Amino acid sequence: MGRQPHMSEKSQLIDKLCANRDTREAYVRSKVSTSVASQIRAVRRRQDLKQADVAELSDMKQSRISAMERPGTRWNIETLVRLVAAFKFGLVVKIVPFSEMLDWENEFNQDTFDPATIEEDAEFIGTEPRAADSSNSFAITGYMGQTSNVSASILNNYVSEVAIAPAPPIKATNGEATQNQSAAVGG
Amino acid sequence: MEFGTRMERNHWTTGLSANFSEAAQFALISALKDAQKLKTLEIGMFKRHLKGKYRQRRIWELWFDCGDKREYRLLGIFGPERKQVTFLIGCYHKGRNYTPDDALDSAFKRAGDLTDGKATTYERKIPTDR
Repeated sequence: MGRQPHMSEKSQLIDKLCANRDTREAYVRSKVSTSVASQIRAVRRRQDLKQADVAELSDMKQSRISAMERPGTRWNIETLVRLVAAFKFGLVVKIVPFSEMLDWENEFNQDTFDPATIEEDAEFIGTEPRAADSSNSFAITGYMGQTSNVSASILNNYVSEVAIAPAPPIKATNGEATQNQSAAVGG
Repeated sequence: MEFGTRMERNHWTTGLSANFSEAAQFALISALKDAQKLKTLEIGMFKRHLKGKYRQRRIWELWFDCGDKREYRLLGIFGPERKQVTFLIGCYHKGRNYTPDDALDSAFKRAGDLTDGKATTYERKIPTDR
């Protein structure tokens, strides 16, 4: 039994998303591009950097940084990784249901988005935050819904949501490794 | 706020974004959802004020893309109240060509009409999707 016809704009959207792969692709792309642009702008401002500063840190042109802060600009994962590494953040890519994708979008706020850099990430480094050094680390967070019907090209170039996040903690294989790791960081 | 008619209220496929593809409408709504959470709306996000005669009416353009090799524009002005923006018209841009081709002049006229009290704005709710 098919869906009942709905008149509301929201219901029409849901029907189109369920029925049409191109619509889903455009929809997911819009969420990813806005989210990434907003996160980049947020962390750059949080670190009190100009676009030119970020360009130098990431070995990219200032115009490229500017473009990546504009919703809808095309970029690839490698470019994003390079940028996030320059910021000293992690990055996670994650395939999720549409509902989770929208939860992320609704909860995200550029004004309050404040991920820890690697030096500030006590859970990762296993001790007190330490002074900045030349280390870089990164991980990706992203969501993609309805992947079985979404073209593979999206996976190459887009994820539905990408979040800059502290890198996940390193799991020690035994007590000695944990101790050595702590000693190395502490020393 | 948006310059337009009451009939177009909350219908994103008409009026302001009538010239936009489906992908562009999605991109626009996502960008506006993101922007409306900000405490401070910065002109940097709205890219730039237009030059020439458009500058006297403080018309700016918001740029966004949606992956279809067109650059989309929303032309607007700040106000009428503090922390409000009024969108005048939506268009897209390729090379030196705007579509519709009278987009800039329409925005200029509409901004003037608002200033002169010949036109009004209405508040548009940004869809939340859920």
